[in-house]
Amino acid sequence: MPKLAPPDKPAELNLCLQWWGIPGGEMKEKLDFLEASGFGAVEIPSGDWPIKNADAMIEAMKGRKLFLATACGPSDFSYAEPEKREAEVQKFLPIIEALGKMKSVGLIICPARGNLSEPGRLSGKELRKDFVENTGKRLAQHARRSTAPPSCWSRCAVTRRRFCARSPTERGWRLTSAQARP
Amino acid sequence: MAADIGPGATVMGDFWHMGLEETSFMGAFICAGKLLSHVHIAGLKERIIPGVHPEADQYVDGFKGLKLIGYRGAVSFEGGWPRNSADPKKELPQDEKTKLILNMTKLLREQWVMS
Repeated sequence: MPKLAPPDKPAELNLCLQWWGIPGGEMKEKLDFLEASGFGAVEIPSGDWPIKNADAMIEAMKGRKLFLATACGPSDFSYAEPEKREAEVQKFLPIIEALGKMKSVGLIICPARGNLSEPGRLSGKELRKDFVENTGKRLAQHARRSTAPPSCWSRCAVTRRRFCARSPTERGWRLTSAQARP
Repeated sequence: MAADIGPGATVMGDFWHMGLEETSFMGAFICAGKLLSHVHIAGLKERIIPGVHPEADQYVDGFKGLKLIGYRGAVSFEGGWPRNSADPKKELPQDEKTKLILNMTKLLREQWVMS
């Protein structure tokens, strides 16, 4: 059995809250609460939020002991119609760019939501192929291009051995199209 | 799948889903290794803030896995709130939510130290 190599740096616990759950109304108030309570990170919404709030968030994060974790929101790339999948990709490209600007860790993406056996959906096998070769790959490539500086990128390769054999919805191990933490 | 996509794709773990689908939190995190970039956490009995059911909310095994892989990313609460017992039709008051958040941080920090 292979032995685990000791990590380069020791692990650390960076507790984090999703934006909606942070007490406070204004951006500053929420971030103040997180810092005062010993949180290490903040998770922001996906959708239009990063696009609309990137500049304000960059400013609000200055000098804080917090990092910007992922953005979380719904996604679905299981439509059988290529046009619908393409629309979903196009929807996420500017979000990824905004996250890159903010130096966020990345964007949480679920390849599929709901039941793949519904009419108008790809099969699990088809979804996997399309996501790996087309939709997911393009989003990941765009995320790499959107990171500044590109040398921040360091992550790739290894994944769970059983990943491919799992439920096509891949609950629990959602793919993140991610940028390395600066 | 993330490996097949290549650079730019990573994986995240979610304690709630892993509790339903995995036999070992630690094993799953070790399998993810350096590709793990984000973690969601919720109560393991109910998908609500950890600490409401402390007997069920045991994360030490998973935290051991995170330590073994040198994980330094976020562990982020994703879930709901317990019912408002005073008035089930109303949401929990904010001061109660804040107390639960601070209770969660205490519980998770204690279990991180234990792991």
